[in-house]
Amino acid sequence: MRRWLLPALFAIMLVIAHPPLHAEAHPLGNFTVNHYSRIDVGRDAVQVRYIVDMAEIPAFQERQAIDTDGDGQVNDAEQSAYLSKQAAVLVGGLHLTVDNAPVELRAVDQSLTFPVGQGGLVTLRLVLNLAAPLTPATAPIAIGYRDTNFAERIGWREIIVRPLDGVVLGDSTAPTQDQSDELRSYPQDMLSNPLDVREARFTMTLGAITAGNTANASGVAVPSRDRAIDSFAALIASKELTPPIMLLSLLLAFGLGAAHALTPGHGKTIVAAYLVGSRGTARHAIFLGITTTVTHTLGVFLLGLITLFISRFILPEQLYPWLEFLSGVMVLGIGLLLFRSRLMQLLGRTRAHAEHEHGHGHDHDHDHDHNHGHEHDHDHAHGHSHDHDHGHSHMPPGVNGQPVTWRSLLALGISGGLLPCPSALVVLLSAIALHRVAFGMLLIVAFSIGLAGVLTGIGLLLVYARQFFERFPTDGRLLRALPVASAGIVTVAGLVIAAGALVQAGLLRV
Amino acid sequence: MRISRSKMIPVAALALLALVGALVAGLVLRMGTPAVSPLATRQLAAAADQQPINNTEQLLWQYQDRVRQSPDDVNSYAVLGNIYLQRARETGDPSYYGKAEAVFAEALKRDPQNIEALIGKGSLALSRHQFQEALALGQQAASLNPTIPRIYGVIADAQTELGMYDEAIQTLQKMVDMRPDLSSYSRISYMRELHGDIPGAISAMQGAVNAGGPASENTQWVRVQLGNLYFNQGNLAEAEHEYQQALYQLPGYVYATAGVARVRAAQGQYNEAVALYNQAIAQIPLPEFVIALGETQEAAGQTADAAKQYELVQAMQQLFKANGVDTDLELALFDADHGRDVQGTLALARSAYERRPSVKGADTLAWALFKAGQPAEARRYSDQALRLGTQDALMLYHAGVIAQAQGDSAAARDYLKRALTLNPHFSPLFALRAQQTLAELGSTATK
Repeated sequence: MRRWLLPALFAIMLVIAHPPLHAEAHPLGNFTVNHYSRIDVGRDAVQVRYIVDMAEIPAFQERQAIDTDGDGQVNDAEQSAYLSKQAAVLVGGLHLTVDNAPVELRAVDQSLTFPVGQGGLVTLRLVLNLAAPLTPATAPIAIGYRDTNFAERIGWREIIVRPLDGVVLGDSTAPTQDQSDELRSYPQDMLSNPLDVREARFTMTLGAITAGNTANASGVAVPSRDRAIDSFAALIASKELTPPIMLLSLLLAFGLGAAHALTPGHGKTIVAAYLVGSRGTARHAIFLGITTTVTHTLGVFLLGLITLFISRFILPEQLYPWLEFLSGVMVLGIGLLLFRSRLMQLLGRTRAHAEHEHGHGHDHDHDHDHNHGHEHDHDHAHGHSHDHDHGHSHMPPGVNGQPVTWRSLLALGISGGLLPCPSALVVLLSAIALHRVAFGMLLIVAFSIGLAGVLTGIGLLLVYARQFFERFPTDGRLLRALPVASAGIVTVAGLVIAAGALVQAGLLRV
Repeated sequence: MRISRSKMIPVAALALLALVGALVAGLVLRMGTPAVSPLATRQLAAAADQQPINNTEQLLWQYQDRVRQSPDDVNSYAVLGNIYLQRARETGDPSYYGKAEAVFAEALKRDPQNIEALIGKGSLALSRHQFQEALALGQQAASLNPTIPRIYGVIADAQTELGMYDEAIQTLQKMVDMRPDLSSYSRISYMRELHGDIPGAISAMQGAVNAGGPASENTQWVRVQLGNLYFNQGNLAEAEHEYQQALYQLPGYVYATAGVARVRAAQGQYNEAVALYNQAIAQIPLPEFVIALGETQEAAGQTADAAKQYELVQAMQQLFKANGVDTDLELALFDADHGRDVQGTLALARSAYERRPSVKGADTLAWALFKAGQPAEARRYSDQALRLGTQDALMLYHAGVIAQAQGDSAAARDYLKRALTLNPHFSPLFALRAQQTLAELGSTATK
């Protein structure tokens, strides 16, 4: 997820944050070094036509090097001396392999010209025709080619591979047609990028010889770059919001939310630990799901607002670790509290604080009266507090964990939704940037519903699994320890969050 | 659900607090955890056999696709244009400027008031040193939507380069009040530097580095600027530390390589300096690198090699002229130092100053006037150049030499001393000359 998320965030940041002016950046062209390789694969040899086209400035530098006697002119002797030396260097930067074994390329002929460029300057064009022998075989031969010349230099890099007569190419990574007419014209389309192909791989097999056929299309390969970097965040930028697109986007957002809920973390541990530890029911699980949806939605909205607002005053990058630490400490606190009370329960000392829990007891009797809850349903009917209730539960101690209270359920639902997925935040921020706030909010609601749906499902699953589990006549030793263990998990989660924050803030070293 | 009132308030307060805290925590946590959605898994698989892809590059494909798929989506054009600008900065390849111009034009054709496209076009104008146009575009954007900090970045940059310092300060204040980030901090740093507040400039630039940016290149760019500030103070160790940090974060970053080269030259390690400059030039032959290489070689006594670099710079100027690009201030300064056509250089510096009456412009014009044998007028412009109190050793050196030519030995001594105190290594060539001139002045004074 990180891989697509960061670019998406980056796009938003590009729109929000702006890089400083590079005061001395020049509209300077003319300093590219461009290369081109055309690989013709025949039955018994590989031929490579290698061209280097230097624009005015590198050409000027190169001529300074060619002009060994320093008279400002390039004479024939200097030129041919340079050419033979440079050809050897360039060939050394080309790597041809046949079935993974390096094969030496030999120069068949070479030429050096200086076509006229801009501003009364010249460019440089060096052409090498190279060849390497092949041993014909019936089995497919794997061939690789790599150009490492001028690796750092900006420039057009193009490789094409063509089968000669009687040869069939397979799995080629390179096209058979060139785009630059051997570096004579470069596409100027505003949506094109300078080609940067530095290697090619393909296999060759012998085929039927058809006289007069030069290049067939068998070697055509689709350019390998997968540019479909779609994401939840991309939904927001769908061009026109026709109803079908909107519906589709909402469905997709829902699905992504559901998928997202299945990723590690996301409060599931906490929710699960709670439901298992307490005596959760289906209604609890559903209520949890709804709370999570609402919290997650509100959370993303609030976080978006906060991000926009706070970033005016404090560098957000410096703020995050501290807020994270804070929340880690809070989760830790909740965990410790749970842990303590459950441990006490386990040790049978709950009465100690049964007394002062009285103010809030008379809530919603409607839910605790289920089949399995035979010890505390009456309490609610009487309107006593929960803590009080199980204080004098007449069940074997520990079969019940802390019973579910709506208040703690709410808190849990909130914490489940509290950890919003940043891609939802990206959507909101891009929605703001693109002035499509309403649609962005709608997408987030759909996303949250998907998320909560899965969480609820997991909750239900756990509830029923536990009920099933309880039917077995065990002495409940395991069940007794479960609430404590789950509190322990919550505590550890808090610790991890807080420690992670400190590491981020640079105060703790791993 | 009924909860007694006394309990409700703390519960609500806690819930809200928890919400705020954990929300942000969630964001950070999620970003740090490699949680993988099925969709992302497929994308990862698709990208798995690729070389590590730069974020900007990835975005570039994404938005190019988006424009291809929906050619009427104004915002995609505008965002793509901004991505091109960032790519131009990262690669140094100016062909992206032309592409950016084309997509901004497409966006503005569909919506003449599209803010992103206007801002982008303004940034593009800045990159091309068309400051008046940049200012106009920035102001147009600000009148349409005054709440976007980036707009003020464009306006402030243009105002700074046009010598409108008071206006620039106001604009910057507005910008930083809206959003204290890399963009606003780095500009504040430059403004402080121009006004001679080097410690303030350093702390602001440090703030910019800490703030970081979405693109690593931006962060490393401001880090190199921080290194330059240390260098200008003569603090070679800190300067090198920043350059090396930038190189560590972004291997092969040319501006950082050139920074280290500059430190080596200042330390007298000319061979290493030359090698590093050559390395930078092999990647992107910017005239500033070539000039610095030539001056380093000259200081090292390799005059023939130095001459080659100066020739190369002249070839670059020829190209600029052929392409209709305004010769930059730095190149006018180069001409004044190394060129043969004194009057031509003066005319160039004058027209540059007219378009760009900044303190740097005044300094360049003063130096060209001095070289042309007009010390009185040169003095006027060197006073102009120092009017903000800029602590720049090279500018002080120019002022000192001009004062000397005028016969004002006291001022000359003062300027040269200040230049050398500020940074005894400010230039491989001119630091030495400053010392020699100061020695001459000292001996004449005692006579």
